[in-house]
Amino acid sequence: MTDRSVDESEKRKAGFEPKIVAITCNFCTYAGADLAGTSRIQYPTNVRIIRVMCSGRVDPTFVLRALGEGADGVLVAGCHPGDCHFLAGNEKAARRYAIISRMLRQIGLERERVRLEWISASEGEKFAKVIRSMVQDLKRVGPNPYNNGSATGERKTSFQ
Amino acid sequence: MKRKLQKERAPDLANETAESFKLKMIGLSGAFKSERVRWLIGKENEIKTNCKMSDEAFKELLSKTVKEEAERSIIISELMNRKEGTIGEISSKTRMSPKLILKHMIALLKSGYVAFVGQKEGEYLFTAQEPP
Repeated sequence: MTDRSVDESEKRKAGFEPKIVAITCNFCTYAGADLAGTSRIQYPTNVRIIRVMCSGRVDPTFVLRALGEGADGVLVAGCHPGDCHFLAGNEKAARRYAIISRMLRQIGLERERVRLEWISASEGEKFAKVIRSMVQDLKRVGPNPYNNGSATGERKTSFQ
Repeated sequence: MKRKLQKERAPDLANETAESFKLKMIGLSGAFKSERVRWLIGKENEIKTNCKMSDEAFKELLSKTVKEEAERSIIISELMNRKEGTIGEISSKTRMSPKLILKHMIALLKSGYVAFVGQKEGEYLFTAQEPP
């Protein structure tokens, strides 16, 4: 590791605000996020929420596309095991998450970038806590090294 | 220890070109779209029970399948970009060995994803096509 690469890495991290794509299930986590809002619980504005009907709907390619288009982290959140509206959708999500996180580590992305959480509709506080901790983790690991324009040092994302 | 290893690896990632990442992402996306990988993920429990396969053995099988499908997706995407190409041209672009590309080409030819279109400097020219 050269001094120059350390400097560049530090420069990239300074003032860095991660962009997180949260793919949330309609019945639990999305309602939890809604509760966090209506309860006026403060959490960072780094998250962009995408609502799906079930966490089982989340295909590994969704996560890859988000990372490929410049997101620094992806949160997949659904109902607690056993509470799925579609009975076993979240179990499928958990199985896929295990595979995708292993594959992403193999291609060199840090494990902090993709996260799976169970957040119910009554856990607004937990939703805020997860977002806060994810933002903290991503600030520590730095920007997505494979971001568009990383080769030129320029930062371009589709998630503005 | 794990954390330390990750930190040591980070600067290398920053230096890696966007092009190389693009290839890896194309490969992984293609792999997760492929029927083989999707079938394996979906049938995980049945395979483990019926074939008496351990967790580790299943992970190994899945990793091998994802790797193969990712490499094939990269080859197809490269052929689609340049319309037609020889094994040597694809090898120089994708950094895969010609031997490995030939192995995948045979599988892709059999399944109809690529076809011969002629010869160029003594090498066969391939093109990507819609499977039948």
